[in-house]
Amino acid sequence: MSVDPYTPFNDTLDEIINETPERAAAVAKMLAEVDEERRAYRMNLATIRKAAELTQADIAARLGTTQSAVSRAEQRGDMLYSTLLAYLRAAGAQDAALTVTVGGRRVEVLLSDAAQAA
Amino acid sequence: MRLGHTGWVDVYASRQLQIRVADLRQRAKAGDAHAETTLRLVGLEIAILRRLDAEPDEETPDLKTVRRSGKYVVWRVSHPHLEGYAVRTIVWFTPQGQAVLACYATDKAQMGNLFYQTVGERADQVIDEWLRDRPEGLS
Repeated sequence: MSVDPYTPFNDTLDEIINETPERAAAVAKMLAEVDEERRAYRMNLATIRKAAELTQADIAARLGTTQSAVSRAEQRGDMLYSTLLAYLRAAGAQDAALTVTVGGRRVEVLLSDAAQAA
Repeated sequence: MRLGHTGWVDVYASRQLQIRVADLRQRAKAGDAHAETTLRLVGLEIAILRRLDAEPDEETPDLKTVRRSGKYVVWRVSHPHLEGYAVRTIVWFTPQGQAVLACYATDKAQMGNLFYQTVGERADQVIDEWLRDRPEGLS
């Protein structure tokens, strides 16, 4: 069997994926899932960072950590208030607060206060 | 039918990856369901690369740098959660131009910790071979 690693793989990829309609449909469905995961991933700390026009490496430098650590933090579902606050401050965010409506009232808690109380 | 848009990055597949894909294709045709699923996942991961315009400047759930990279910094492409499968395609973006080499694909679920221990060395070997035999002018 001869293979050519120096010809772009695009056409071969299409041939493989489209070999059966089931395979093509499965890959298309998974690509849509990838897009959805990326959208969910981005609607978090990364949104704030990008609004500040900073890269993960910028945040890492300000926090004295690695870009990989920042990436992991941006994906994490849970984190300490203090970690969240450090990240937000590194992104230049000010007056970071948690705002909820409870009992019909809007209540705001500064994250710095929440971090101290925790 | 071309799935999704095509970016500016040329995607190349190493000799090793092409052999693996050919093997998966053959086994899938023979009715091997596991090979069929693995082939779909590898196809997906290469299709993800094809949509890129350049080496990513940030990580996403499906594209992350490999911390235990060797001489060459490589990325790993992954797929949405699928019970029993953790197929990863290891890729390297050439510094000179708009190209990415898909080095190899493996199922982390089968390899366990060995995946992380060997990825740097294994990728380096594939990349070195690809660069050594690369025709002149290919970026």
